[in-house]
Amino acid sequence: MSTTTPDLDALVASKYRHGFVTDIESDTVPPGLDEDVIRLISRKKNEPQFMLDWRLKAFRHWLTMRQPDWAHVRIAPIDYQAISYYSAPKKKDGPKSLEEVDPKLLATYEKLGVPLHERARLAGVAVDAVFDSVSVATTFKEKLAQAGVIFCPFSDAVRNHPELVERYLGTVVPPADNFYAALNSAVFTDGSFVYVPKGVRCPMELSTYFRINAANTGQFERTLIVADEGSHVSYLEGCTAPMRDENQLHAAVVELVAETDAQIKYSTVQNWYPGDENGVGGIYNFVTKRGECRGPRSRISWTQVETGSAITWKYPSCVLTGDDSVGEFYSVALANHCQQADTGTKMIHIGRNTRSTIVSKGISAGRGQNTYRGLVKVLPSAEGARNYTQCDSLLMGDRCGAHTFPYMEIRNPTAIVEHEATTSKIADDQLFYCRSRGVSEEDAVNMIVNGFCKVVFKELPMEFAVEAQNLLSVSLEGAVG
Amino acid sequence: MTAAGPVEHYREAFAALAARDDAAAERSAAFERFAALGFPGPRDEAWRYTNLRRLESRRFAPTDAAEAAVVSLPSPLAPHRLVVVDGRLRRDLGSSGLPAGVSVRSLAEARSAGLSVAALLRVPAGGGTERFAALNAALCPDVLFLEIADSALPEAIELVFVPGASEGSMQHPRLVVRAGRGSVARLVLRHSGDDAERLVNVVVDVEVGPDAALHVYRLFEPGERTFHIERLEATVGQRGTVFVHDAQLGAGLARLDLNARLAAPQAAAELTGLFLADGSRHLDTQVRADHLDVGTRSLQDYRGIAAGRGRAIFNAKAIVHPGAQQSEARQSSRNLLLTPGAEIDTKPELEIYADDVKCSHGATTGQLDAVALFYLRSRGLSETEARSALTRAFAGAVLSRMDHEAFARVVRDTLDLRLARLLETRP
Repeated sequence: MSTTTPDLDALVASKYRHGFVTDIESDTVPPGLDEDVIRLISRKKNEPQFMLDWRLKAFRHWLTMRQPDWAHVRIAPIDYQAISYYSAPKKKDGPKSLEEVDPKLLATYEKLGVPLHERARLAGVAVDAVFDSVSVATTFKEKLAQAGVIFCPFSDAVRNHPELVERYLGTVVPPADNFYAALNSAVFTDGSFVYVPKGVRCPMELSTYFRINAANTGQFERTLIVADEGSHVSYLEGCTAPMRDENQLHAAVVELVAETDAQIKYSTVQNWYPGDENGVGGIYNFVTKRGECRGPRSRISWTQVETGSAITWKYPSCVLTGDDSVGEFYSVALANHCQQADTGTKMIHIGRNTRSTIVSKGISAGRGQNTYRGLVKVLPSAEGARNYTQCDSLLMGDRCGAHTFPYMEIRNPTAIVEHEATTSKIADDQLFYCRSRGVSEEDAVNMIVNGFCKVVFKELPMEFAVEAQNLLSVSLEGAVG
Repeated sequence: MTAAGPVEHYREAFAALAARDDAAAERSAAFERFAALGFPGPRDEAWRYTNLRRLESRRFAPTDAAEAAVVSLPSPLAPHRLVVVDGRLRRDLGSSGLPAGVSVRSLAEARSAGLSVAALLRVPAGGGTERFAALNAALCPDVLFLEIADSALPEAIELVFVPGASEGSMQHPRLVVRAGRGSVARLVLRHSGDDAERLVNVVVDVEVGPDAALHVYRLFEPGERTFHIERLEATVGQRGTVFVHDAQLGAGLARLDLNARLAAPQAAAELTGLFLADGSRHLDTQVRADHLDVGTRSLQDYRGIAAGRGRAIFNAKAIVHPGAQQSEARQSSRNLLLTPGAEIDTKPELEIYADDVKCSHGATTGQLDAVALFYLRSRGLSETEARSALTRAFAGAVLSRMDHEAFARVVRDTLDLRLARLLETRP
């Protein structure tokens, strides 16, 4: 718990610490989208034919779809033809190690507080850093290879493990699942691929830093994590993006597959540019994340801390197909200034004795609008299903909003489903107590907010938990008083 | 619009009924509103769990028989009774007088007294049932305008809504209630009916004046083949309170939109009830409280039971509008699934645009507690008795709020009877 008083003025002036543009030559396709652009993307990635066919099918379906409008957010119209669908840093014969990586890129990560080579080694974390659309550096590959774990950029997986990709890609999030998933399926440029073989416990935390850089490029990541029988993997995802005035669209797809007795833990700290205090600029984060507990006793756990983006619209979900499988969702979502967040989860109970837990903490400040939207669905086959949902909202300021839309659809009489939620502001007596003990108002609020979120933070890997706490305090600057 | 067919059918009915009274302009506007909205499409969020295709395919004949014969009336629940047949007040069937401070007028009487027809036929805006409320304004044969004078403390009044016409008819009863300043009144609204297939499309428009308290006891037991759609809209004035006690025990397909608009400081609403979706009943209940001013309070507390192939939908919504500080909203939805094949869909929603508020909601869906069942069995109760006792205890929490004795007794008896039948036929 930080009790030092940060220099408020400096923070207000600096605001978004990660806002800058790296000046490297980019290999960017002109804006616009048609089948030729998709063929170009596929060709540039040296993809096999099945991948191209898959993309084109998704694209043709996308053309028949309409942009959804049911979320509790206001979105300026998006011109999908004004987006450039491919942007890659110019390659100089492809770096084989960190030393060969463009020093400017490495400097970018330094500024972000991600000293790739040092921190990765110290923390024992393998980093597959995505810079715009192409992966530039991958470490610890060998160590992972010894364990038999495949952890590589998605485009490499398509080339080197086409059979795995073909077998699993789109099985959890089908290309026609929704508008943004279809768009992603058509134009995704890169992302991460993880395959953990039978009975292997992944020897280290896997993490990827996504960044959006070149102007006017949308980013369409595709992540696929497969945990085979009895395996275990923990994946960390952290995001920052440079400051920019135009809205940027980010429509990623994350698919998780947990086979029998497998466990996947997926953690996210999302800190993309939220726009300024007047709501100008910021990232549109429209992500489809879904995991399927395919085998008995498998487990998928989503943990997210969402402090960035102008608009966040995502529902990391679990399809609990296997008997006795477990789905978990822990979330902290913060909406300050003019940010809008419509986020939550879906738990689909199909197998017998499936269990799910949802803990969602929403914080609204300024003119932020924070919405929890969740679905708990128990199908007739889900004998003995169990769900517990808790979603709490904290309001700071009289112009923000906190909303809850929990859907519960129960079709099995043996299921037990519970939902509870509260909405309130920070209690005056709590603040008064802290102030009377000599704690400044700013620190008191931070302490109370951190306490409010603690149950989620403790689900995060340690270094992320610290980062998340700091993020929250920085994001809340100016919201109090 | 998705369904030109059914809308045209209703247009014919409207054309046939036109020019009955001199509210033609209001009625045409209302009909056009209905025609513009049409029937809900498959992606209409307000109708997510209720499909009206079956209703759309039916062609119901409008009824306007002023003196139709009534088959039977249930025994009275209050000292004073008004009987509404096919949307018209039948003075010959009700009790002879009304308590002091209460008056009932028809649309024509209200108009000649200088009241605004537009106000009596107003269409509440928004929500999934606006279309049907508009259709009601266009087709209702009359308006039942019930007025409770300022500071009046009348005895309870029962309003019985019964269909007179037979198979394949539609009724559009409309009730407008104005509770004057400082009045305290109890109304039992009872919907009954036989086994004929019909559409009943009700609008109840309530205004609770400052410092007034209005208790509404709604006993809902139409026949199994009735399509029932109802919009109950209550606007509450300063320090006024509306209490709605709802018991949904009938109909084949029913949709109730129960809205409370807390439009002045310290206005309050308690919207509570229970529903029993057994057989193949489909009960869709949407309860909403709009907190529009400071210090407003709302409670939404429903308990639901589903069995057989029954399906119950309960959607509670509390909206705290900007500036409605010091508001308090509580929601609770507890549901019991008694048998496989039944379904319960519940969604307690909060939309909050003010910070100094206290809002909470809770929802549960489950079965009877196995441990409690075991305990009762170990004390010598039969399986059926034990299940019945626990189910009644589950409903008891809401029943105990029903502070109108005769009403509560009927609800309890009906519930017992139906539960007994349910538990006996249980495999």
